[in-house]
Amino acid sequence: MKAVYTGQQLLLPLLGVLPGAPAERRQRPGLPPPPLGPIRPAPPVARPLVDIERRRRPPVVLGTRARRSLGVLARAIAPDADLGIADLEGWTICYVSRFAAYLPPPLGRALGPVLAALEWLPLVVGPRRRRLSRLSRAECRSFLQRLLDVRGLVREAVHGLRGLLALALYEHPAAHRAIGYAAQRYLQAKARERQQRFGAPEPW
Amino acid sequence: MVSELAAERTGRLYQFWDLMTDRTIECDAVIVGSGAGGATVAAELAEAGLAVAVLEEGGFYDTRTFHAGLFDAVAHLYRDAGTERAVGPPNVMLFQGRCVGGSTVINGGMCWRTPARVLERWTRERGLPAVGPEAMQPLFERLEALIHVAPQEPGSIGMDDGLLRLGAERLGYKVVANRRNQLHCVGSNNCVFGCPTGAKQSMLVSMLPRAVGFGADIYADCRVERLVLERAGPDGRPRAVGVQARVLDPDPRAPARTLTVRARHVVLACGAIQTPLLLLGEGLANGSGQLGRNLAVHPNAKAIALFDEPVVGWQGVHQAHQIHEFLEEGIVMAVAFLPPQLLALTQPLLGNALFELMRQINHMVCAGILVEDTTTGTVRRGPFGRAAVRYRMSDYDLEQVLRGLALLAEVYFAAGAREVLLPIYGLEPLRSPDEIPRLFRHPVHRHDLEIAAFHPLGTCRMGVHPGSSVVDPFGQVHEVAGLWIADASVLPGPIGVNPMLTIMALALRTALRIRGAW
Repeated sequence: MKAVYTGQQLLLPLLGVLPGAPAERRQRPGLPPPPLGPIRPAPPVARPLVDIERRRRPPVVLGTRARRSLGVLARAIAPDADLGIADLEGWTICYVSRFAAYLPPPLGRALGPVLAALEWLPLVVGPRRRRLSRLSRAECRSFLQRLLDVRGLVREAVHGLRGLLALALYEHPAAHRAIGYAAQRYLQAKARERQQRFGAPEPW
Repeated sequence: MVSELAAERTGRLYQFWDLMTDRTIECDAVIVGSGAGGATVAAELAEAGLAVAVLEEGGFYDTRTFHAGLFDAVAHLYRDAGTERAVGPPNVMLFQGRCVGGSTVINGGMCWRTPARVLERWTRERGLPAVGPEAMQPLFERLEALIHVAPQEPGSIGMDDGLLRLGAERLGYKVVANRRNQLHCVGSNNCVFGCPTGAKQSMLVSMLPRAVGFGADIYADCRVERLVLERAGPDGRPRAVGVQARVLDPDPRAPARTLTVRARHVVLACGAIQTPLLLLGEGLANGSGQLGRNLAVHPNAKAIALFDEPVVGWQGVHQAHQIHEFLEEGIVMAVAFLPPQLLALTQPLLGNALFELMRQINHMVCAGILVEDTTTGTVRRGPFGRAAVRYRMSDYDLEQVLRGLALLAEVYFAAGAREVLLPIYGLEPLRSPDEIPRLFRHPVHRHDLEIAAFHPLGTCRMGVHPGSSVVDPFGQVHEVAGLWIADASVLPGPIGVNPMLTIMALALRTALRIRGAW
């Protein structure tokens, strides 16, 4: 390949001979190929200890009002049909409080105020002038839909919270069964298949 | 030549429970970050006999801990549990790894060499020496051998990939087999939550064990917050002589402790968001005014197609082919299955409507477009010392995204899709190719577009002139002696393909320069 050099680059090697010239000025335009020797096999390494339980952060403690609002929102995001989740609200609240522990602090701290705002906002925007926890499931959906239709920060916040609750709902094994998703079983079968065909995985 | 300090090396991995008191260590090179760039530098320097310490903010998780559940993956492997955003409009979801192995643990494993036109542009416009296709070839070859880059075995490819390929071939589009860092991948399709079979040769199972094998030490759970500097030397530049890190203990009652590392060379490899953030916090390396600027992200938009026949997208490898028909125009298309949790998270639906969509998960193909962007965003220090990322997509890029989505919809319909859902809020699903022009009938509001990005790059760009770049052509910071950068931030611009191999190749150049071999 024909190299193209600017005038300044051609002058750089000359400047490079001056004492104290910065490193970039000491480069020559015509570099030799990179000196790469043959690839040496690396010595074996030990498997470090892995303890995911020790790495878990304690769940965020949510207040009674926040829990109540979350329960109402969880019901609105779930379908009317029974997914087979024994305690939908309990599962969702537990999931959100565990997840919130991993959110960046400003976002984690915003969760409570956002839930508080959602609790009272139906009094202003409807569809029924009641607090969130007094709305029926259909009314709650209608309320959320109104907020999702507003562009900007409101949609961003509501979409984020809706997403977190939907994540919780569709992480439940019963929801997976209801939609015919069995990735964990498939994945285990594939891991076994690979091990049988090609041996154990890499050390880490 | 083996350094004297290397004789004291232990070649092991330390975690927060191994670091219960303040500690100071000395080595030849300290590397901050263990992703594609950091791990490459670590392996090369350790192999050359230098005493190397790698500091990683995230935790250590190995192959045995990876599974299909989303909570553990997102909470433990992703930065900010996947909630990082670049402020637009449209706001862009940024996904980056934060664990030993960095983003390579959670990426799709695509290993494309930097396109020749991009390398030639860097040579021509930025004046970078030895980055032409011929000069880079031996670097790519070495790395590809080390991380087993190869096309996917046919038995591991899923039906979703096949359908997209079929649609593209019916339209006469160029489809190419992906080159991935994998060893006997059987297609478990869990790449983005950590490979549970060990097939994906992320840094976690390739370069980092190699570095440790040659004596490098890895310190997980250590967030570097300060650089240790010595006053200006004879050339008027300060010299980086180490770093100071805070040990991150998940137990809030645990006592605070620090790890101080003194070294002849300090290599930052924290990615295109965290590296400029660290330097901005120190007030360093911004004489050019380019630090934290020139952010490119390769915006991604996903579209979902529903088919009558079962597809079962969760069976088969994450991505085996890409449509490269429009690569030269800056658009790439490929499948990327979304598990139900993520699908539910992204679709702005509620209740029964959401469930109706979720029930069709086994009839769904999810694919995306990647755009080589012309927009440049910025990284600044925001409140609480966190990164404030701004990225306001240009009109041209917005058009490119819409064009890419229209092309993708065309491919879907050619493959036999009955319905296509585009990531534009309020847009009704498309039910035939005749409806595709609907996309262009009304101007799409930026706030209504859902964009994600996995490839932030360019915020400490490389260049010959200190007045217009942050690092020199080999990754050394212009204004600070002994300080190097080896991550996506040094790329002089977007490259239009998955950047892992490019990052590794540039990092390998940096490592060769550090050890004085080149």
